[in-house]
Amino acid sequence: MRSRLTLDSPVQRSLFGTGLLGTILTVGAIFVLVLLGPPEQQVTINFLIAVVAVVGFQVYSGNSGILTFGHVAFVGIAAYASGILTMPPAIKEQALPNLIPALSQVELPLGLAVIGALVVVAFVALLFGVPFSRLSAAATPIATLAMLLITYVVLVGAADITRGSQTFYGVPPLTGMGVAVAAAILAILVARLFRESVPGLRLRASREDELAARSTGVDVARLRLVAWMLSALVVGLSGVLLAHNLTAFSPKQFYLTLQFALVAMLVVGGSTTVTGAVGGTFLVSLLLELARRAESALNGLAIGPIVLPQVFGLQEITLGLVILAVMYRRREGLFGRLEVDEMLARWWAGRRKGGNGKAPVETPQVPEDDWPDPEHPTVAS
Amino acid sequence: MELFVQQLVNAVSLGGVYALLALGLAIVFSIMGMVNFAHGEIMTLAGYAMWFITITLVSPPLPVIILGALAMGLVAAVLMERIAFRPVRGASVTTMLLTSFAVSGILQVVFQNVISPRPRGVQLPPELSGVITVGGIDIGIIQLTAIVMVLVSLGLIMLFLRRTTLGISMRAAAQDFSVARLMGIRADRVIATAFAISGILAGVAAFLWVAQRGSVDPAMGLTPVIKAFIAAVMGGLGSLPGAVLGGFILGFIEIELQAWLPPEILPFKDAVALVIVLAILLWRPQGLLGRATDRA
Repeated sequence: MRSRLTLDSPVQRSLFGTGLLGTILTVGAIFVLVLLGPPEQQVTINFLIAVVAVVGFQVYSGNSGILTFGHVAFVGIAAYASGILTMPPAIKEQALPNLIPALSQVELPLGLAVIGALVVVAFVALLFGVPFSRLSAAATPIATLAMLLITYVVLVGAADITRGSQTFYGVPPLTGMGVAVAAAILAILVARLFRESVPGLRLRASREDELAARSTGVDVARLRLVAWMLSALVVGLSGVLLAHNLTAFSPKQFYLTLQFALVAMLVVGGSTTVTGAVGGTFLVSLLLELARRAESALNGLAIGPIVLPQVFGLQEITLGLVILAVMYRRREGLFGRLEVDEMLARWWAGRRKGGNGKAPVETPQVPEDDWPDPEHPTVAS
Repeated sequence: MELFVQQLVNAVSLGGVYALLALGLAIVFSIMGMVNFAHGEIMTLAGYAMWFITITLVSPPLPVIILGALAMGLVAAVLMERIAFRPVRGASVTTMLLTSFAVSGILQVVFQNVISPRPRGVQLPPELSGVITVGGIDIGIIQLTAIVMVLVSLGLIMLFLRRTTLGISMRAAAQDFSVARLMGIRADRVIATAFAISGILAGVAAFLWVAQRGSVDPAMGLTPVIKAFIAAVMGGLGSLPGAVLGGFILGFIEIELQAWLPPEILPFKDAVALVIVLAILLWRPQGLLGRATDRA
């Protein structure tokens, strides 16, 4: 007998999955708005922005199996682009006196600024994406790191446009809870639709076995470029949101620290699914917030006459330990390889078959070697 | 002529450091498919060993400091493999990359808390900072030392890989690990040796880096190792001669840009250098000496 929750059409599956995650995020956001204070609301907005970014990472890394160490470049580019496009001319005169005249009189609403920022991001992404899509899967993460370095150096160097390493200020605060939730749901929908689409499926096939996929006619380089571009746009959107949430920032906020945190969020939940990306973002954001509070509570603490030495980097060490734990114990991520709708459908099907209210169908066993590498077959220790 | 020679000396001494680091990365990658992000922390540890020697001993001779750096690099690399990387041996490139990346982050925090978040000065013997004149051209002793040490290290590694049984079995393992094991080559020994060599090379690089800058800090290894990564990719990831070539080319590009870029573009020097590297990769995606079939 056919179960009602068997969703055959990819579009239906994407919509259903997005609806589930979107409902959770919306209810959570309303809960925070009604019951908790401004600091917690700010943490929640930051979390939602991170969801957009990490889901954007997932579009590329999750489907292609290639880790990215460079996508934060797109966060930074979009943040500065949107900041310049929305800043009132009066503030520009002070903050950016040497800005080219064409830009100094511009003051766009958020919607148009998003489009402008994404056009810039798309241009940069294409510039880097073309050579990157031809590199091997092992070399690409390093090349993306080079992209982040290049972007950082340019953001610091182009002082006329970005104020260099000084704080860029005067960006209007336009990112509220509503905008952040809507953007997160949009990002999830885009990522799900791509994942379930034919190009997405082909790219996932190349992730599992690149040679096999290529031998069946999949143009891996081209699909990697497609995913790269889409991913850059979603990540760029998070940059716009971040700019209008921070309102003042400098290039080092769009550098390795943020990149590492976002990568951790992606892999902890499991990069192969959008559900994993969202879940991992939630868990890691929670841990980072706890670590931040613990660090500020620990520093300056004294037991009797003994003042404890200052503690550094509790957040960084948390990230490191979480990644290590996941890599040692559960390489495919905490949420495994199923999207939330697939989990529900399986649970539902198992319930009907078993009839005892339990879920006899387990998640499929993922082989130890999750992404086999034909050049370096499994080495038994 | 004088300018040219001085630039060449600078390029070889800077490129040499990149070459040593890139070679260490390439040896480990070619044997076990791991892009070791924590290579920089091996270098940092070697730098801290130098600092420790110079503050505990009264004016230690130079060979002691160098040996200390090499020994620390070796021990750190072998222990890192034993403790952190063995559980993920044989896993995908991504899993190993993430593991090493986490180890790198954890070690940096440990350095910050156990030693200091601020740079520690390393007092090296003053004769190292002198200048000698060869045929009317002034050459810094540090640069000269760097060139000599780089060439000696590369020569010794080449001899080891070509003349010793262990070296030959390592080259076999780099070509095809499974078949090499079927021929009776011990996986543990080969992998431990690969890490030991990469650690020693990182130790040499640490000495040269600290000798030029005079201090060591928790994030010291990050920048040179990222550049070495890029050099290794430019040379062809997994190719040992490619890594060395890539290192020297990157050093050469950086020194030339430093000399010739107009001052208003100079802040963008690193970006320009990396763009040149990416342009080379656009032309040869497999790297300069990489195999064209090696796409997986």
